[in-house]
Amino acid sequence: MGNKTIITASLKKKRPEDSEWVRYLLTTMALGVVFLIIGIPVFHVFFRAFEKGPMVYLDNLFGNPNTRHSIFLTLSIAPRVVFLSVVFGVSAAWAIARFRFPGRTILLTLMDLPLAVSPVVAGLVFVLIFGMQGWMGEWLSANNMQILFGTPSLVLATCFVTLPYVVRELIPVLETYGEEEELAAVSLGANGWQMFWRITMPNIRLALVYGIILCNARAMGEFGAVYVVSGRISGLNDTMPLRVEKLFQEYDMPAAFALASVLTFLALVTLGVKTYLEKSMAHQKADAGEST
Amino acid sequence: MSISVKNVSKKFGQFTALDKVSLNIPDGDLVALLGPSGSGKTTLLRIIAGLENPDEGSVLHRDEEVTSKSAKDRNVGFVFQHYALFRHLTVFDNIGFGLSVRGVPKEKIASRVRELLHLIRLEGLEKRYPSQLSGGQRQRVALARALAAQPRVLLLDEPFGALDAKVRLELREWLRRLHDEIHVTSIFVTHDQEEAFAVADTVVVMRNGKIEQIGTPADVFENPANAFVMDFLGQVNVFQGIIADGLPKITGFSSSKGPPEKDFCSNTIYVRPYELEIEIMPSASDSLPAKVLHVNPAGPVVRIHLQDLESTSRVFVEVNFAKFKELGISTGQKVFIQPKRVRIFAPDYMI
Amino acid sequence: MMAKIEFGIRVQGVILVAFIQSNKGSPLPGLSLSLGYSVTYLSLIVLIPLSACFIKAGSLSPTEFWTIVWSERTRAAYSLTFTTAFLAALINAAIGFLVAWVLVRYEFPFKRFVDAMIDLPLALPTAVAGLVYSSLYVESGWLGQFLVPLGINAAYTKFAIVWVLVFTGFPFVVRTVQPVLEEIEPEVEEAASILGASRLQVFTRILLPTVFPAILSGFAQAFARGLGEYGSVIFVSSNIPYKTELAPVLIVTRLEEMAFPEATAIATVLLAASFGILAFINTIEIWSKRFGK
Repeated sequence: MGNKTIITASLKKKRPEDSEWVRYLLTTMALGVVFLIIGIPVFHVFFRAFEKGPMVYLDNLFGNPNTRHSIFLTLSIAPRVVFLSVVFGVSAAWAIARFRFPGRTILLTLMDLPLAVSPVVAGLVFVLIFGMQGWMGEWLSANNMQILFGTPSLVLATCFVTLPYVVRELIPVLETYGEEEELAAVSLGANGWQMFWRITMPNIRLALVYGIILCNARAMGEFGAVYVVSGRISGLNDTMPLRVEKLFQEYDMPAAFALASVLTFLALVTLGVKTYLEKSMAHQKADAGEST
Repeated sequence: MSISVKNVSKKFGQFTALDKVSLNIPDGDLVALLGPSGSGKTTLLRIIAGLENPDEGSVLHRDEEVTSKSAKDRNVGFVFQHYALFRHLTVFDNIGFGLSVRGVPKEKIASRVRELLHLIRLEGLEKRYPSQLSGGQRQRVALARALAAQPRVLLLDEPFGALDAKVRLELREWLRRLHDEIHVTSIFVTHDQEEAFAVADTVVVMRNGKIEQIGTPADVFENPANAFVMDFLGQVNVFQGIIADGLPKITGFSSSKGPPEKDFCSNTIYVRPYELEIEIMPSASDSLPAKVLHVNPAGPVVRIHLQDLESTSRVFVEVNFAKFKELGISTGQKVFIQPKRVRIFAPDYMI
Repeated sequence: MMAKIEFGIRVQGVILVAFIQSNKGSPLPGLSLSLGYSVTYLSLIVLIPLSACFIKAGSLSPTEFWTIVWSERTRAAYSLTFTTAFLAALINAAIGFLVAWVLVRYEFPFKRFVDAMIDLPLALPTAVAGLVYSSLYVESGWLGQFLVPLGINAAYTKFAIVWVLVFTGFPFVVRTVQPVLEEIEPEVEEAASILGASRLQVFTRILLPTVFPAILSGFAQAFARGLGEYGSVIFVSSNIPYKTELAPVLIVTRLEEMAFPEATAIATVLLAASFGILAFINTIEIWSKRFGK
């Protein structure tokens, strides 16, 4: 048995090999590209952040009230955006993966729009609606409500750009697992929510976390859209990336890099979790394949 | 063109795929490499094609040593189990690929492709892509593609393995007729003995990286070289026996389920299901008593399962329908069995 | 204005009812709730805001619109945006294919780690990318100290814009090509070489055409990303009108000047380009399905 798996594996995996020098040359070139484009920048961020020692680093991060506020703001916006994207992602994925209805493909395409639209445009459209000269501007100011240049618009603009992240991960997983288990649950008398929490949720769990990780990274890192709707009011509406830019404009490079290093660290954590989840999902898929 | 393989061995890590295999295939022969999975048949085919390099031994095409030649320069046709058609090319371009990479002029390619399309009876489909064809059509295109550059030998790796049972039957008959037309030396790998018998001139039975027997289908089936070949080529009943006065004699049912893998012990006797006679009354003193367990009378051949009265050992008998009517047996009845022909296998000993 | 939105919502309601009625077949629950919620959310967050942009642009007369988008400054911004994004996407097509090839076909130490790092540009905020790239290529920077003496001034030039766009678009080609390369069965290559094709012929006639749609799709994604990029480019570009001012930067400038019609008109052209690319990507997908299994 063991022998058989070895032989089929060795026969299947093998591709016609390129000559050794081609392999070495191409691998060196590819690794060089990755090092140049990705490796050096990552080293550079941490190097510049810690150049003056850890005490200066900590002071750069937490000594300035505006920087502190930007960390707080990002940490308060991201969870709200993620929550909204998850609710949308789960419901849209359910509708699209489980039902056939007219306009289904249009819906799928429309969901991808935010990926193609410039973040600046994403911000602009909210200015056009909520700004003083916009559709709702007068009504809002008459009712003493502030949306633009405030946290609500930051959340809205971030929701726009992160909208596809969760749903795109969920649809293929829902399609892979099929609906047999859910139909069985319904036939055994489960109601909709019971079926959802006990059958659907466990199946899509990993993909959901995966989508949340990607959505969160984008929510924390978004620049263009929030830049436009923030109104650039110092200290009040600066998220971490906006604060990085402001420090850069003020030529406070050590502080800019200190804050950037936190964002880079978060990005690296995101990649780590993502890689781990990809591995688990591959296992889960293989297990599902075996049982059917 | 004749093919010779001399003392070829191949290992994948710890696993020995081929162990000093030698084989001669005369020009124009249609040969089946038959064996269970892991027997080394596909590896042997790939070594002949040049897709795999043997650890030792040599491969000769006619009298020319080709062991160190790459697949590209051997001019062999190869048909893969899963077709391996080029998805982005049309049927026409797939078939013409081998000629096109050799720089054959366009008009010549076109006429050769048309010829082959006629041969595989797919005229009119040359503009289709592989994804628009059925499995059987794809495999015919793969065959035409392999034949386009007039290879000196045609190699087929489980060519019908991925097809439906019905298409499979049609295609193998078609392959047989095709070979009778073009007479190119052909070797195909299969694990289906019926397929090997239906198509091949010569059958090579393999196991564990070694050749167990080479012969015509009739020869191999009638005179299996050993217990493995006997078992692999069809159902077999196993009895305990002794050799008395140089003749094998059944003394009882065997407790083992099938022939032992390696053990050629002389007190094991093998009998094919249709070589057992069922008797209501014993015709001789050595007829074995048995109980009818189950009768399956569907079709021209009636299959009867019998059980030893004492042990739980079972025997499987095939009789024709007329004989079954004449016997008039039913489930639960006590009968006797008498072998018409028995085989025992010992090293260099066979009846 | 409110009436317009109300009308929009009512139309939506009608469409929703049509959706739900047409799908009485499935025995699974939750269609009306899930579809209703997701269409409403999508409309509120994406569709109505985007239509605001088009309606606003539509309120301009054709001449007004034309004057704005064809002024010398906007033309310069568009042309810079399109050329830099195009160049960056082209570079990404080449190096992305190279990296995907090496990741799929060859073994080397820390392969999994390198594979994971490919996605960094998607996880790293673009502002950080801009900050780092701007500081790497200035004269005193890690790379600038070697490049500037060679006469390559990469900071605050078009070169810098292209380079940072290569960074932000890097994962797209790699990630579209990788699965396609992986899916090519070894038998297909073996078949080609048995038919007499050399390694080079196998590459140019079998492998490259097979992955070409994927390269094209990755290229288009990187291109779309490059067109709209803002966060990273404002760091590395000097943002000088007519010279190094990109279309998204110009939009923001106009917004800060409270010149909404101008900003909207420029954005509309950019949006139309995005839609065009999206349609292009979808066409490639349909086209390459022709070769599907």
